[in-house]
Amino acid sequence: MSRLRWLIASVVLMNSVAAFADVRFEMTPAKVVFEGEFSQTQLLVRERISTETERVADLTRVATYESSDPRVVSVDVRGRVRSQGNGRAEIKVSVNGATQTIPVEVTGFDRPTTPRFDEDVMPVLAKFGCAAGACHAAQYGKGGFKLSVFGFAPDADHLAIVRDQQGRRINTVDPNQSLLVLKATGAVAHGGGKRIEPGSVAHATLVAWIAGGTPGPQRDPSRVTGLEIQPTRRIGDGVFSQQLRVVAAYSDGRQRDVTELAKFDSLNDAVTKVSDQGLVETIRPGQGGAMVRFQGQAASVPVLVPFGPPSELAGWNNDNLIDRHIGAKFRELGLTPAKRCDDATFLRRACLDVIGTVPSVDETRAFLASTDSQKRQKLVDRLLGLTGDPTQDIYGNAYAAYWSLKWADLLRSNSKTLGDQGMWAMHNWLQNVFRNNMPFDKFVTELITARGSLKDHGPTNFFQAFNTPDTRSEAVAQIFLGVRVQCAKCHHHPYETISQEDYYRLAGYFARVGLKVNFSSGVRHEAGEIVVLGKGESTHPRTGQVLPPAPLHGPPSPPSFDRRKPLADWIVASDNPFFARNVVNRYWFHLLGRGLVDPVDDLRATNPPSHPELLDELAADFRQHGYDVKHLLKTILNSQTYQLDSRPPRPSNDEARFYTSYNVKRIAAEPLLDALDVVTGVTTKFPKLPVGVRAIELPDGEYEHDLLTTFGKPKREGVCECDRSREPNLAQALHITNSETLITKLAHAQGRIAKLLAANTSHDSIVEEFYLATLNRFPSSEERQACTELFRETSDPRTFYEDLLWSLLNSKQFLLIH
Amino acid sequence: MRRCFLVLMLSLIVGSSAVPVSAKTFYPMIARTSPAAVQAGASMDCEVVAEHGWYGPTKVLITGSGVTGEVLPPKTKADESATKSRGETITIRFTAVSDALPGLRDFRVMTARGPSTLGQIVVVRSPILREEGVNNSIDKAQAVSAPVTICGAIESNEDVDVFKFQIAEPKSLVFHLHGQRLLQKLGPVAYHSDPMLMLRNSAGTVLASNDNFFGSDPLLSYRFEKPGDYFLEVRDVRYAGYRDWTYSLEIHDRPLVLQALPAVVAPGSSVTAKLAGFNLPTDASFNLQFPNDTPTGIHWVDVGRINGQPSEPLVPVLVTKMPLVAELPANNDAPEKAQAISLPAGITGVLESPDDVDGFAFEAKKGDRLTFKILAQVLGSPVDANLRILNDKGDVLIENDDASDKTGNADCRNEVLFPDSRIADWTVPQDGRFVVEVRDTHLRGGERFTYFLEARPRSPGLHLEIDTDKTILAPGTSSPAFVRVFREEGLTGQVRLSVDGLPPGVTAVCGEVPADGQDACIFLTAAENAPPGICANLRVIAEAIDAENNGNKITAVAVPYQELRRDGGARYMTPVEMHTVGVADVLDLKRVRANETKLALKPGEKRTVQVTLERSAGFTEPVTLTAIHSQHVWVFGRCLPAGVTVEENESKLRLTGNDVQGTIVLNVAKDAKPSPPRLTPLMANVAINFSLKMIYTGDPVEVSIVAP
Repeated sequence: MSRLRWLIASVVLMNSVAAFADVRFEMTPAKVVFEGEFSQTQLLVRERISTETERVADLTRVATYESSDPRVVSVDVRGRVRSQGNGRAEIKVSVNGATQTIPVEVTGFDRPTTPRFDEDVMPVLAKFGCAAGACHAAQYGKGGFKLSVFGFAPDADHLAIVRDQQGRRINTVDPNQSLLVLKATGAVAHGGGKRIEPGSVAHATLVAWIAGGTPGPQRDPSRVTGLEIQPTRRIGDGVFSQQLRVVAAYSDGRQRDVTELAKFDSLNDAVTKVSDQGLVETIRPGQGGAMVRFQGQAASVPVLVPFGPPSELAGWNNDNLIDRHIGAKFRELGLTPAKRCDDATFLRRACLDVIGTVPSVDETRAFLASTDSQKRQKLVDRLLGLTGDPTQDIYGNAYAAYWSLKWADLLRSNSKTLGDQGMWAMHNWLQNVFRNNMPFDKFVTELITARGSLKDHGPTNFFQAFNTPDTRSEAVAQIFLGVRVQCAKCHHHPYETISQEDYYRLAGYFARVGLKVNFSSGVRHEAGEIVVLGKGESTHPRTGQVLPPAPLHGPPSPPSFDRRKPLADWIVASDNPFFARNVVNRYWFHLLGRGLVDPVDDLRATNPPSHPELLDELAADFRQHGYDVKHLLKTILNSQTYQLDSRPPRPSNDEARFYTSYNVKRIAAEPLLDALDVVTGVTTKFPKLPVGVRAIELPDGEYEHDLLTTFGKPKREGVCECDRSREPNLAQALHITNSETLITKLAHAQGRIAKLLAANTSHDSIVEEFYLATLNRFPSSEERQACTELFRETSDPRTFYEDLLWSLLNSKQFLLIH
Repeated sequence: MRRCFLVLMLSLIVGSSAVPVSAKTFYPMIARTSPAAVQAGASMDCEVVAEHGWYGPTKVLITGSGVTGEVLPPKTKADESATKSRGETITIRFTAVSDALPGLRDFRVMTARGPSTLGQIVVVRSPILREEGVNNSIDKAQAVSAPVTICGAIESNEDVDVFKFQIAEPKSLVFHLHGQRLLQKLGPVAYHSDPMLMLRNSAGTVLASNDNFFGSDPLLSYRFEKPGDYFLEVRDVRYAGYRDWTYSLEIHDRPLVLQALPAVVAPGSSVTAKLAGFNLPTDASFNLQFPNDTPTGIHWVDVGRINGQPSEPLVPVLVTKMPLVAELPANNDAPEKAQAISLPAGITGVLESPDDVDGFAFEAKKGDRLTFKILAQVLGSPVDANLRILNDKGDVLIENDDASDKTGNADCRNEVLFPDSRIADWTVPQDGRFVVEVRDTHLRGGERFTYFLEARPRSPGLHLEIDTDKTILAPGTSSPAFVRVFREEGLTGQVRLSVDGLPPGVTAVCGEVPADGQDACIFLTAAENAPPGICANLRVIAEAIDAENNGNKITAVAVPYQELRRDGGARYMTPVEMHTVGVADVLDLKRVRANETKLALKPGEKRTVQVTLERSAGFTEPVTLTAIHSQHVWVFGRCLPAGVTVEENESKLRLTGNDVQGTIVLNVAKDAKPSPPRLTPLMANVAINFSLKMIYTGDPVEVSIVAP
């Protein structure tokens, strides 16, 4: 045994219940075995209930602790146990008069050993904020002392501590007088104040490391391979607390309690707060929890506070897999869903969500008049073009246009970058993809392995839109895996287990993509052609090491002439943990207004989904159905969850996250402009496109149009869903009330109003048509009456109808998908 | 005021009649032909529009056989007057015999100002219908009935042409559009269409679409299962448009053959080739058979009727005398599994599936000079070949993706590369086993991904080009035609030139390409009594001696290269089939004379040559003198001995107004080596536009470098 283990807390980590059958609480761990001077562990004490283990109360801060021999082991009021000398002892734990003991054994305390820099020292500096971006890990460091973020560059950090400034930070003769120690403990003036408590394990670790000669990073250090957080999930009523215990697993098989060294953050500040020692405290009902990070690993634990007692959900149907999971969450959190929306609302919502188009007056009349009990399911089939009857499958163009628009935003299809030819090639390819319902795995594979002419083969333009290996891998990760790897370009990802090495290995898949000229259309029409090159590598920017391509968290791929193929194979593989979940989450987001994971393109352990089981099962269903997007949409659209009314049973933003009601959305820019065209009967003409091309069919991000710009049409310069603004703002309100866009359309000589008046249409019919066209419902009797009364007061029918239609178009019922 | 207006009008009227033609002469530049198709077995009167006017069109020259053209007389006197001056439109009656082969033909028109630039027309088998009226939407769609050839134009931005047709019973139709291909050789139209086809059902739902199939031209094949009305939409993919963007769209249910599999046969033998394409029965095949005396090379074959229907278009077939070796079914992907061959070999292979790599192993000795050449796309295959040679350890020794059309190197004048890769004249580095590897650059594969690989010892050859595609003379004038030679696979030495096909009254003096040079000039001169209006297609033949192979004579015929203007103004060259020499009635310059006809220059010497012009009456535009044919940094013809340059700062090269006297100062480098006399043109250029010009020359000047 060559390795020193003096600091390692080799702890028996079994969550076994202490062997006292008649007591009312249980403890973790059941037994403590320490090796070395600074070994420590966190005890967890909890109620003992045989059934609902997630609901048991945490008694860690309630219990009292006593060491049978303080010369062997000490314990503080938080249940923190630390070795003090070789020998055997017991920790006595008392709760409300009941007592249990935990046996403790300490060995190796008297063997002098030196802490390791990368495994012991850097975690201390990371935990106490020295190696944080706001302090010495800032771009230029602080006070002339620069560390890497969270210690992910140990070689450089070691030099900075030991060698920089003529080694003034270290005093090996009297380690306690080292500037590193004095500053950290606040013994001398320090811009960052006192970070480490004198006498703490952290303090002792630094001193012992200096005393041991400040050894540098190991050549092949064991890595942390995972974190286990105890408990894994917690539900409780009202205000309560929960101590967490964090155990790190190392690549050499060791396990170590790192609760004291891990960093804790709240997953939802509104619901929970978390102390530096890992104590979670609830604030109010909802779903919160803690994010835990240590040595490049990250994990999270959800903490749920129900809104009320478990609900019965009378009439809730669990036939659809979505409803089963959503219903379970309702029950768990004591939530009551809204009632099912009415037919008119469903028609409008489904049409806008699936084809980006408001239903016509005739479609609305027919749907509302239908008494078919299956009419919602049939509408879904028609919208998705699944009836097999060409006379009913008439929405194919709008479907293809709408979803092409969505994906073209993310794939940066714009003429500014791709040129006209490339932009159109990409646009037409996307239209074909969605028109033919290409399986999503094939879509992604075709895109990221695209080769050939930029003007003949649309997906090749992906490699123009993202023209470096770095930007390509970033885009692929974010768009198709929902993983944001950008941080890892410069340093280890702060919230993910993605290192700089991982980043450049991923980029390596695109290191051999090149461009050559093609003359297939003649000398005056040479076009770029995406080709695979025989050379090209991705190298680590700091070490210069050539990094063979490897997927995230996976071993390097076997050599392949086109490296992108193994990447595509990995992305669409059934066991890829990201792909299907990301796609499902994105479509869920588009339809239900909020992703199961939110933000929608930030899937990570430290950003858990609101409904993890639902996300997993929906993803599995998507895979099992051959990545069929229409099947996915159909499943969602036919769920009761999707069809809930948008008016929540209780006005609470916290509950919206659990889909108790349909999340109201503003109509996106393009469907809104199209809707205005349909309602007013006046078509918008776009530059360089013939009359009749709709806004949702726009191929480019470069259309200057006031309404589109104001309502958030993106320029297609990013890969984030957030680039398309979904939030309402004052400019939008002012635009829709005052802009020429609407006023001109209302007053147009060939518009709907003019035609209705020219046809001598009755007042009642005009009012009815206005409501059907704008809100896709009949006016209520009160609304009819009000319109009639106001009409009687006017001497100018035309102006009256313009005002009426203007009012409807400015109503929330029109501007929102509800 | 009224009086001033009358004076102004009068002066305009008088002015226009007093000067019948501008003194600056132009040849007609064909901009569009409408309709752009003629049906086999029928005639079609086509309007042909030219920039710079027609000036008395007379004769129509058309490539291939079976199609003739006749310029119809103007319908009105006004038209007649216009045509004699600067009328933009003439009508040509194209007639195609019933067995005329379908496809594109080039044509040009001889006029009083010389031969026009090239125009193009498609020979089709379906009756022709003109696009009519406003047909921009489904509700205004023009009704058509297949088979039909619709001739129309994407004439303006945002133009969409919609055609409606009925399907009564299940059937497959092919929609084949010529649009961008009709613009490839049109000089004045630098910005081209990129047509797209979109097929919709009666509800307007898109059923299928295609943007690019033949270059930028689309092809759609669709199986209609349900009767009803359908709509075909033609547009530019960008919704751009221009008056010259004509198209010919053929809709039919006939077989359309793209490729013969295989497309290689030895003369005197026969091969049953499977046919690939649209509207073909699954077992469609054709017996390829060529007589023993068939010249080697690519032949275009009509595969005849399939299922009682005539097929189209022609398919390319290679006739070769190389020992043919078929790729074996065994896996030959890895170098160690490469199929053994011995050289020379003509290998017929298929990249059967995506990622397929075919390897062929051969033994060679150090110093052997070998050539490996792929023929794939020229035979209709989609393969974009990538060639590599590996040694026995798997090290890549040489690689080629995309060859130039001449030497296998990417150094040709236009830098145009072709996907059929080539490694020419490779020197084997050591004795041993080597593998030549073939793959598709994009790693595609499938039944149609066939290729023919020539693997053989190097064979010296010759490729030559003539710049440009036409020479315009007037009685008594001379003009240079530059020939550029590309020596292939080790050919060295002088190249002699000769011409045939000259029209009566025109003579040629041919320069020689020296052993250390690439260019030579042919001086074409019209006799004083040469009749204006005559024209003929010229052939330039080159002859060289292959010193490696017993002094065998190697001959080649020059490929004419047409000059085009690209967006931005650069002069660009594209190969065409005919170089036409024509005699115009008058040109801007009548004579170019130098005061020296023999210049024996010494290293370090500067020599001034006086050049005198004779301008045509009224021609006062600037003229530029030069001894090198170039534009910007690109040199298209240089016949001065190596080391001789034009000292521009000391010369008087630009002659304006009525100035007719200029100088060209030749500077000889101090280290210039002696050179035998070279026939050099001293030229006078008259600009037509930013990139094109008319070039005149005087008699050849023999320029040599003698020892000091």
